[in-house]
Amino acid sequence: MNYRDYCVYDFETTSANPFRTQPVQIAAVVVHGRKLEIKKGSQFESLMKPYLTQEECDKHGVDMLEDGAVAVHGKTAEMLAEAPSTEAVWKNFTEYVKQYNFKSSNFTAPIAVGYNITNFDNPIVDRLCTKDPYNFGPIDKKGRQDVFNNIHSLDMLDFMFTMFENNKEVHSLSADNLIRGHMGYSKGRAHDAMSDVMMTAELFCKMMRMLRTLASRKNFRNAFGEQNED
Amino acid sequence: MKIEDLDFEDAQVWDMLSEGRVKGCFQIEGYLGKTWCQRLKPRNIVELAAVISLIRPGCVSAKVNGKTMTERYADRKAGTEDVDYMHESIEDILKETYGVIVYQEQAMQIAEKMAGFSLKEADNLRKAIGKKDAKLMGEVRSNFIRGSINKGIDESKAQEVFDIIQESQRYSFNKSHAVGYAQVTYWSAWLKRHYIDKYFKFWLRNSDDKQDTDTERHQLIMAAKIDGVEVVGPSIKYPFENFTKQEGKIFFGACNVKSVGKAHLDKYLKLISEWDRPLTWLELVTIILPNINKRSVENLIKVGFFSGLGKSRSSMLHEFSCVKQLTKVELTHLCEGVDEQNNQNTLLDHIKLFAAKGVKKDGGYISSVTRQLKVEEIISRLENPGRDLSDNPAMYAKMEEKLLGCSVTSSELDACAQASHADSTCVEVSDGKKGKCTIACVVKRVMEHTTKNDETMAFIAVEDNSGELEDIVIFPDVYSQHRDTIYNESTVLITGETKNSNRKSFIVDNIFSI
Repeated sequence: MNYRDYCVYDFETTSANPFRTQPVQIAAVVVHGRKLEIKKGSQFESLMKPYLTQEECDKHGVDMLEDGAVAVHGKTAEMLAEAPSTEAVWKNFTEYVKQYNFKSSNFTAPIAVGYNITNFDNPIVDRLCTKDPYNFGPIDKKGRQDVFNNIHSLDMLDFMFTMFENNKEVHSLSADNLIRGHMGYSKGRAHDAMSDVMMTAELFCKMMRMLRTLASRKNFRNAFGEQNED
Repeated sequence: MKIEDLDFEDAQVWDMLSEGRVKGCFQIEGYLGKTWCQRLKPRNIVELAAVISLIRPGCVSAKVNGKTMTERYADRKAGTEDVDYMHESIEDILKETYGVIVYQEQAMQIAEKMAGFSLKEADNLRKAIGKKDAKLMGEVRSNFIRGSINKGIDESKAQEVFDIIQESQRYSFNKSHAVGYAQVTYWSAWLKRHYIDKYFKFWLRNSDDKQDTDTERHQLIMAAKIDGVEVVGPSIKYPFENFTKQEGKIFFGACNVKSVGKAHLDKYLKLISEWDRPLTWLELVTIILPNINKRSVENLIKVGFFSGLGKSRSSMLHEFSCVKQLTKVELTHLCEGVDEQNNQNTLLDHIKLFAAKGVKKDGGYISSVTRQLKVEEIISRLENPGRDLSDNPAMYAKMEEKLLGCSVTSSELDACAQASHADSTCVEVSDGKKGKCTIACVVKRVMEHTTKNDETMAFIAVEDNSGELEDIVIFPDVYSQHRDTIYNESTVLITGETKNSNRKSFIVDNIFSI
């Protein structure tokens, strides 16, 4: 049924508020929709130069680079001052995602995948496409972002919740605690956007394969029919 | 030489038809024509006329006495079923079709010979069957049986023959029509055999007129590969409108690419005609291409029209997208800095030099500070594309498939390292390679079928760089394990063997996703 690819992406940002934060790094990889494996040569990674002065941030209504954020991702103001502009990177990124949409319609656009993207990364994509101070597009006829598929978006955090909601060994669903801690994924370069994206993509492929196997063993036809007691 | 003077004796033409290389041949170019030509192996016009009559949908699907007419004819021709003429008096009439009533004329002759019908009465028989007129049929039937008894033939035999005529004539064809068709089929096959390059070139040109241009092109390109004719994508070396033959290959025309019209090509040709030497990519992207429709340029880049200029398609697309962000005035001034002497510099170098001159008030060419920021953003995009801009065969295969109807430069297989485990190609297998074979291929068609035991099996068609292979059978035991792997456009390694049962099929015993 699905012939779309998945785009696993992640932002590193200046603060924790998705409606005021500024992206400082973006990374993404594309997963083959049917094979469920990372496509070769599909990595995208770039730093983005945020507004760095208090004056600029106040003018545009965005958060300054917070010390807490720097402590998490390690991208200092000095490093970011040399980075390409947010608009330039966003143009490159949208062009990159478009390459994986072979029918050039939003219906066939890659499906966004990530860890906690519903509440954090997706609103940033919306702001970059449609809201000031960014408003870089692309925008569809209904005024929504037109980078990723607008119908589906898969948040691995929700997926992990459904998997572990009754598991007493898991106390937090954060990527650090669950995937790196409980599931044993290498802690190497945690909170580097590309490293996080690769981890999420591998997790996504494994989980989707597991679901496929489960789904193929279950006959759903008339599963809720009155006669079916299974 | 006139085509009407051909003597229908060219063994090479008959060999070609018998091998099923029939794409482009009148009336038999479809799947049915191909498979039944391979099985019936026509060697003369009479047999070819029979093939044309027998591949009509009714003959192929409707069973008379438990077998379709086509299968009965094939089995009798191959000697696996005894030929039965039903009655010695009609042996002469049915001899050329192995006792199968293929043509309407045969039914009329049988009525004339067995039951003494006049030609008018015999024609009534044909009409009665064709129009399924029950009243007229009853009359004709009783006349036929009465006439046969008068000629000393058993009533039961007369009834049997009439029943067979009635059943088979519902689908039978007019012989004069069939032979006429067969002649045209032979002529088209002869032209294909002796002028193969031109044949494919003109068929490809005509593919635009077909309802499904992409499928037609794809089939023609696959058939051309099998016949040793190479079809390649459009090239800047031959910027023609339509398919053309150069260097022994057939090149796509620029206008055969989706969204590229004649007006776009004319504009391009007009712009480059002002130069007396081939242009470099830098000159093209700064001077020529910004003046042509954006989508048509992007599509030409995607299908490799500008390949050979030392840049990957992805980087050309990226640079073109950056250049399109410049205003006309900025472009004009940027072009001034591009000439033959400093062609060694990159686009990035040129834009940097251009930006370094600053805004107008400082003596530069950029109109305002806002535009200067835009130019700096373009520089930033060129310096940090964020991704690998080298060529990716799988991506080009997809782009070409979308924009040309068929991938011609590379296939998705080129991106699969495991494809090297293959020991055979599709064409080798379809040419009859014996024993176990492993093929690396892209799945092109999947047809599922439910068996009597309510299990699912599949018939698939695949292709690789050598050509196409149809008639691949995956039985339920294998298919149930690999169902997720087999879908349109999946890349797989399949192992199996060609088995001769009723028809040659490649039976799969294992599948690996690659």
